[in-house]
Amino acid sequence: MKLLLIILIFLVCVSIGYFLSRKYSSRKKFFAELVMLLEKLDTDINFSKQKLAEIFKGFNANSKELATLKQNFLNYLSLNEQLAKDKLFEGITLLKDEERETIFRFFEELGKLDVYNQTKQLSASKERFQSFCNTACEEAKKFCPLYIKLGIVVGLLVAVLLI
Amino acid sequence: MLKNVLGDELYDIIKNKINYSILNEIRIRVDKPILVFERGTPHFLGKDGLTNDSSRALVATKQNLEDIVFRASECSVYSINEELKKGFIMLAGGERIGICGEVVVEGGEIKTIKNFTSLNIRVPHEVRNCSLNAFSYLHDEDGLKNTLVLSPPGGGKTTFLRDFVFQLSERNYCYNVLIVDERAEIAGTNGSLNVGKFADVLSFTTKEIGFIQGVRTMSPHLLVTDELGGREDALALKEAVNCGVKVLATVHASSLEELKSKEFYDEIKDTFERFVVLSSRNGPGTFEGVYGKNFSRLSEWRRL
Repeated sequence: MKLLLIILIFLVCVSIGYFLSRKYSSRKKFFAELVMLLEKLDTDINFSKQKLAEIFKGFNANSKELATLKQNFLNYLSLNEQLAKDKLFEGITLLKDEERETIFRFFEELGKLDVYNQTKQLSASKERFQSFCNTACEEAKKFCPLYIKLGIVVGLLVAVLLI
Repeated sequence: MLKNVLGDELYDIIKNKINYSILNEIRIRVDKPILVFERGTPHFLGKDGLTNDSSRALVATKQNLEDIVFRASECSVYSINEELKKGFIMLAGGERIGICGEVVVEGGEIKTIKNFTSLNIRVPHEVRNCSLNAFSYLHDEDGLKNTLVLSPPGGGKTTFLRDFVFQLSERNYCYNVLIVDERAEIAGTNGSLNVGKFADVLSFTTKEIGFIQGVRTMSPHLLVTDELGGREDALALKEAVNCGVKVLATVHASSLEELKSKEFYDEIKDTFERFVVLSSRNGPGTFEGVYGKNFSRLSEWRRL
């Protein structure tokens, strides 16, 4: 019985570590795909001149958070309302304040400019998002293994103490 | 479509507090009262509907205009750059938004319009039977006549064209009609305005290209087009007539005298067999008469 409890506690600690590390891998995935979305926007706006709704519907986001952001933006496009920060980031928790602000400003301007200025805006935003992506990659590289290892160490420590 | 473009507040007033069926135009200018035209008569638009008191009228802001253009572009202003260059946007329902603002010119070429200052939203209507006063003069046992419809802007020319084509279809005159619809005002987009069973529509093309392409590919009996604007249009039209196609066209002119003073008149003077004159004297579409080849009057005016 005691052994079973120790195993259970160990697993919980490892899971917590894994859960904490996932935030960083999700952020990395989110920004990598956000940059991909901007590349798609750049191509579709310049060449096919598709409407935003069509472009977004045609983008398949694997990142759960980006899929949520995409859906929130599509909802805004269909509702004809002013873009609100709360609604755009509804269901998304992994972003820092500065990142939210930058992404919001990007979406707020999206579709409101002519091709030339829209392309310039996309290019500037892509650079900014790429730097977020690089930071997220570095953080993921640093913190993902750290949290998993911490989980294992804490789990082992508790197990040793209980034995 | 206007619902998606005007925004809830303005659309609600227009839909519920004025008579939409006779609305021709909505004029929205930055920091100026909003004007609506009903049967060609201007009124200010207030919160409770029409008003003749400008102090009670709704005043448009710069943001209002930007929002309208943004929504008209389906939230994708970059996608309507070509339309902006020409100064108008067409909506799916056939409504046309004329735009004024700062024209950006680069190397002598218009790049876009920015800082919008005025919008003119023209609302098309299908006025059934409005062409019937002239119908028998434009089509008889010998067939269709080459016809030019004249009126000042907002005089009902496009509505006349639309109805004439519809009436041909209603009477089962099985002519292949080709509508070269430069601004998609005659037939709207995606068939939003009814032009009957026998009409093919070539939208958003210049007359020059549309005529050549259409005559070659669709073998029309009747070619319909709006607003001849210059020598190139007149020459393209003449070319189509020389291919054995009948034409029905319109031109901005309030009288036959004005028509004669047009620079391209010499090119078209022998082309047309009938001239239909419309005016806004008793509201848009007032039928002033039909004239023959030598400008002899064939009919009297009647209110449509």
